[in-house]
Amino acid sequence: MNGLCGNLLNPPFSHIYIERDITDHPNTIKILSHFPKSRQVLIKHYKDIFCRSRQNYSLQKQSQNLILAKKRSPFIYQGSPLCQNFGNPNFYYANMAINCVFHCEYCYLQGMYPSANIVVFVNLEDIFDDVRMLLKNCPVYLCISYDTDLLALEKFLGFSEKWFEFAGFYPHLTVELRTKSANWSSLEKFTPQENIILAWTLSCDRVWEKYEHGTPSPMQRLNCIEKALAKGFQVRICFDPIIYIKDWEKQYRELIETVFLKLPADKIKDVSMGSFRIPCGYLKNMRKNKPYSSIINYPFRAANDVYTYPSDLSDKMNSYIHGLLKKYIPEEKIFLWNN
Amino acid sequence: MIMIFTALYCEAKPLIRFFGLKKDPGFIRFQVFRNEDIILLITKPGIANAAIGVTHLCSVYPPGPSDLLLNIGICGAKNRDMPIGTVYLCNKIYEMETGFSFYPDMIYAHPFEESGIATNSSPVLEKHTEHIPENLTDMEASGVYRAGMLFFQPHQMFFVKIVSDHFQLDKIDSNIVNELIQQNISEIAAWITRLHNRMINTPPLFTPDEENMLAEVSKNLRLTVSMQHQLRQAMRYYKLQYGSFSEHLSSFFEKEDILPIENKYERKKCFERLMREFT
Repeated sequence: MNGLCGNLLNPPFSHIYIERDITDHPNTIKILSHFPKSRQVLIKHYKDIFCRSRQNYSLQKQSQNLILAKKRSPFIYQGSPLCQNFGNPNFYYANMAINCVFHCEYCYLQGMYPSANIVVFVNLEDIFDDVRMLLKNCPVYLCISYDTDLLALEKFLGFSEKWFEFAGFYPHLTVELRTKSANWSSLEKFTPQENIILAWTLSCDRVWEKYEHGTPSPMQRLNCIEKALAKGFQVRICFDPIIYIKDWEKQYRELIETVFLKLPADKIKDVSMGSFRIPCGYLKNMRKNKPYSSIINYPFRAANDVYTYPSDLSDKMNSYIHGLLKKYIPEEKIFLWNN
Repeated sequence: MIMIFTALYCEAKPLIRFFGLKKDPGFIRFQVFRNEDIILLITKPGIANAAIGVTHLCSVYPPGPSDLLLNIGICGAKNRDMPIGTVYLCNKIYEMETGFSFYPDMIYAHPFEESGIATNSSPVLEKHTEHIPENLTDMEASGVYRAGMLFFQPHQMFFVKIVSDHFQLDKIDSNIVNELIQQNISEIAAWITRLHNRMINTPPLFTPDEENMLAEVSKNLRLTVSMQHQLRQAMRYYKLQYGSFSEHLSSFFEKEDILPIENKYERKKCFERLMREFT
């Protein structure tokens, strides 16, 4: 593994790769208008560039490029057992984008995909059609920001806004928009809706400083959440993943105290928590990409093809943080991920 | 090491002079020139020749993560607004025979123009240019890329092409080619050398002493292969988190007084204590 010191890299999005089929799509034109200086390269299929073998994920992350593509079927996926469904039996997720502008060292995306470049699927209308079909049979709980951070990309994508518009027509659809961003300037333009949940992931200061590169600080996120609550948005707080660090008890206690000092607990829809877990194959790729990251080199224990902290440590962390949360939030509003 | 591939001697000649390369007599099938940091092979024209040349050199000198591949040569340009002598870094390589496209990573900043290039096995004539989907054409880039991918990562390969003509092949001779490369060599060399100088080879995480210590612990505790992996992982984590594990590991064994290990039960107990101590 090698690195490159000094500033020899192209700026982010210096190159935009565009599938031939979607060059005229309105979303393509809109996105490209935000990057007048980027070089455009026409491609046949996004996988021709995204799925090349032996790509250097870490290096690409330092100079991410953008790939505009057409999403082909399937448009909607069943929710993963490693994610929480918050009591919703019809749990699905949809991908409008792959990869993220933030760089969290523990993020599973590094192990899931062969490239750090960001793919945006511009044909949102096809995803909407699929959701309409699903809604004919049952209510749907849909997470739309798992493999990316949609709100962080909102300024040039505008997809969150489109989901707010879409969800307004379908009361049996519940949408979760998960984020680490503090993009209030985009959010303030949206009208809060009962069936759109803004889910913020919060980590303690130490984890943010050391491992969540490029993300807004926990306090910046809290400021944004405070405004969102005041405006009437449905807000979920996710203490997930909980990361083991040396003084984790003190760090997470301080975080939870700060959160509930700043935010009105009764206005928060619910809270999720869960210690770090990841499919074995993903972690193997992540360690290959980032061999010097301490957080992913923890000697996790494998069970059922999933790496987690040793069960005694995991139980201790979950029980301690659950105990802290119970002081502020009714127990039925706390969702704990358990293996 | 920078591994340079050209199709023709007249393309290589200015590079050989500029870098002060000497002929390597160890190669008999290809002409190879080198100094300490640079090795250049002349592939001869064509996709297959290019792929064979790259494979041959990389098999003899397998490149490492800080090595770079540079394909330099002349190319034809479809548009007259791409003047002769202009240097292009290729961001896409389209192979005419198969319709496959290849994409070198465009991660590094550079001072050149950029374009896609179409690679054809034979020279493209002016009357056939309407079938060419890219602005530039050559006869080697896809072959170099295909073979290079076996040895390099996409960000380590660079395809630098200098416009020599607008598909009027009768107007090119070796002197013109030589001159075109010569005119641009200092800029290309400065860029690739600067890039190469900044590539950092990261050393292995464990020092030889630490490796010896881990081997000794594995031997003394009679660890299974699986346990050895777990031990290495725990020590890797500990070192990344706290800087070093040697002192702590030594004191653990002194304090615990657990050696020698007599049976599997003792091994298991000791190993569990060890793992708890270091995670």
